[in-house]
Amino acid sequence: MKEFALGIAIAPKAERPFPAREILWGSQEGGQNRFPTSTAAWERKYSSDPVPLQKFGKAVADAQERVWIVDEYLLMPDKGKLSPTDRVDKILTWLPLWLAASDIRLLTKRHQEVGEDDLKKFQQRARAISNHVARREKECRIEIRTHLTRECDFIHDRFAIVDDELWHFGGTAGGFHAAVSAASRGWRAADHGAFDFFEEIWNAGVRK
Amino acid sequence: MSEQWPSERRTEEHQMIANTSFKTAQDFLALLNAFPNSLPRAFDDVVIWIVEQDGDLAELERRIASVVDAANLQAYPDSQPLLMTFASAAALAHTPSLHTWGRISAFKYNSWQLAHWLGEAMTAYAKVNSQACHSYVALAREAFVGLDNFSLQSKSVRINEERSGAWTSWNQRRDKLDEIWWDLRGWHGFMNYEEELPLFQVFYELSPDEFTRTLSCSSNPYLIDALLFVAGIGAFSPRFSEWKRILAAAPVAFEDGGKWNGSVLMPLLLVEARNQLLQVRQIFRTPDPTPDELDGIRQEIADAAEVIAAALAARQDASAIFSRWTPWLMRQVLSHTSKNVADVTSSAFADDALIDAIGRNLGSCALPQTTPEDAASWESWCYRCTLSSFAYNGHIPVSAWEDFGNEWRLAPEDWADRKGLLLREHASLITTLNKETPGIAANALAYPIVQSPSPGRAWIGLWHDAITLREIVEFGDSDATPDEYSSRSDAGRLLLLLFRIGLAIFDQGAAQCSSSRSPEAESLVDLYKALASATCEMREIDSTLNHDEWLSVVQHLTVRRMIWEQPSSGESEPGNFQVFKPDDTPTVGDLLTEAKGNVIELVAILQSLLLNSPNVSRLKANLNSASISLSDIVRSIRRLNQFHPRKYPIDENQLQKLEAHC
Repeated sequence: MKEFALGIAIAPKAERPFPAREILWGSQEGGQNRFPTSTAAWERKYSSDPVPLQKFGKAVADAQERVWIVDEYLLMPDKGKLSPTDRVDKILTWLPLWLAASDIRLLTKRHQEVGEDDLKKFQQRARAISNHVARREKECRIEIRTHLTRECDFIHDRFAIVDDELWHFGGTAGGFHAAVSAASRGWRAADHGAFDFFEEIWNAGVRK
Repeated sequence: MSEQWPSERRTEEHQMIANTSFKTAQDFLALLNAFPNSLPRAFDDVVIWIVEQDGDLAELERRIASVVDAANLQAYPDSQPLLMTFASAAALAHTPSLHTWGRISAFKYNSWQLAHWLGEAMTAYAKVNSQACHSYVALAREAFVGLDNFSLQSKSVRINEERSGAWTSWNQRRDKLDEIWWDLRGWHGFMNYEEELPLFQVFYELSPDEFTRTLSCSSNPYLIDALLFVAGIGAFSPRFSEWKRILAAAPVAFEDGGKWNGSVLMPLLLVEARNQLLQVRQIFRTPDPTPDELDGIRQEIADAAEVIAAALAARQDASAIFSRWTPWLMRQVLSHTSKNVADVTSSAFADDALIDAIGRNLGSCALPQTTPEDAASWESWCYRCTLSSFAYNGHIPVSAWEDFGNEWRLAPEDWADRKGLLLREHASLITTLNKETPGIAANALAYPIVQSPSPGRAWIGLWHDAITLREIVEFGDSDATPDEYSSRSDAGRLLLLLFRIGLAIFDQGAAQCSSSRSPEAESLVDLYKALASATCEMREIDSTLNHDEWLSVVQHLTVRRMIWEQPSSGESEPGNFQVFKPDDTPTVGDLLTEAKGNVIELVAILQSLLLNSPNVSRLKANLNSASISLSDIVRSIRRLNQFHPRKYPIDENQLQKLEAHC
């Protein structure tokens, strides 16, 4: 296609400083770089409350622009662990009132066990975040879509994009998984096509 | 391009390695030479046994072994499985019924040779027994009916479930044509009909036209897609000649006006053509293609696109086909940036080449002006973009844009009603895909407006009439849905697209404007003022996620204000179109003054100005007129960055360039 007019570029957006790449194993201390000992692994496996990765929670809380998470079991704990309500409450601790990011999107699948009241908490939190600062330019938007396995039944791994950083999870996003499982961080999302992929699967559920 | 797919030609160029595990019809004919006095009576008995008696593969093997012994063929390579397969082929010719087919299928299930050689054996048998041709064709037609109505079942429960499951879910789909365009994703292809392929392979060889007519009777895309494999359409060994032959014989799928009548053969052939075009870049795929290799890809794609378009144009229903297929191709192009579309290794390049080739081959085709009623929502505006592209390239007259304009004119009560929903649905794909400003879609949608007598005034009218959308962005939807944010965000996204269309009208007009004293320039300046004013308003009222887009829009506007201003010296610089006189407002200084309160935004604007204008003295003059000290600005942003690097990020490379002019 011939160009309709002169192409005019604007300066690329400045990138935020980028954290070093690292691997984090789930542990009851909130994550560690080394594999757990087998004793610690047993303890975590049978804990009713596997502690998520603290560094992920902090990264989300410090996000300036976006938090996009893809995980069909994000809101649904394993059997015998805490309830979906507890899981939602834990995730909400990553989204404090002073959260700067406005674009929060959680792509998961529908679980009957996760009630409407649990989901409403996200909207209440979004409103609270938006109202927390008097002259916030952008409202905080927390949107949850549940078409992951229905419309995009081809995703195995779980991942998250926090601002420009891609996180990859071997188990539940955020590191809730009780069994030995790790996450890696420090991947530049744009370099790996993560934004385009996420947008595509995010829109798959609503596009006509 | 010779009459071959690029992948087909490439396969031929590679030396084929003969695999003796697979037998050809020639191997069976050679076996017959071992029986100079024709096949023995014992062979005929085996054929009758297959047709009339029960018995398993072991018994068949025993009976064939006695034929082999009697003919003294123990030393003949593979004599036993060859004869066994040939006897099966003869049985199918002797009694061409689904019962016989069921018997042979049961043997095939347990014999690799029988499963893989049967088609070739049937071809050989038909060569020596002309009556067999008729039998095989009749049997294949009966089998097709059985597959189409699911009365002919596989021995595998899983395969039967997959066949019927796919058909059930197909019938529940509302977006059937989209699913075909998506190449029936989620379907395992011909493997679910692999058992019947030998029969249909022979059917196609013996009577290709009858084969095409038979397939055309079904509306099951999975069945047809699988069986097209035997004709060289789809996986492994694609053949252009067969694609073209079936294309010419395929029944009409798109009627006058483009309405799809549910026939699936033609859309499947179109999908195959696109797949072949996309494969060109795979054939050439090397980690670092040389300029010569890139030229090779470009040429292959252009040639292949041309023969596809020419073959389609030869059909009576070409215009209807084009009107439904090109929106899909355009949709693929619009999901990429201009840079992707120009990259010969991207799929968008191939789709774009196909649209161009179709445009060149339109000839006297009269394309419908709109999509038909059965078209999906996304098709409407993608089709508009296609028509604009054809018109821009001089293949068709420019389309009217008034209906498009009317779509934007909503009364407050329209938003939640059909008209508002339709506008959102039509725009949904483009507002999501269009990441550039203005972007390909906005430029294409703008083109018919640019060709109207007063494009600037037309856009100003559109923006003015979009008051309902702005009110929804600012105050929300009074008949609010549970998620009222969505209403505000959707309305904001629509306005962002409308703005981009306006900017595209400005860009296209400016590219044709030779003097800032011309009436065209005056009209463009009015349009520019309206665009600047729209930006200010939207920044104030849109607090959804669109807000950032409106900030970056200011950079686009400021850059245009600078590069399209006639220099005060009157000297014309290369690439400097003359739209603005120096005192036309808003000036660059005015825009910088507006941005003074936000150092991040101001730096972004300055960096964009520097990127687009090598004339630093003009930039400095503009800074002076806005009473802005560049060194103060740089100092401020560095201080902010030190305070909170993630909140106030800087691009060191760009900032140093700016600093150099302090």
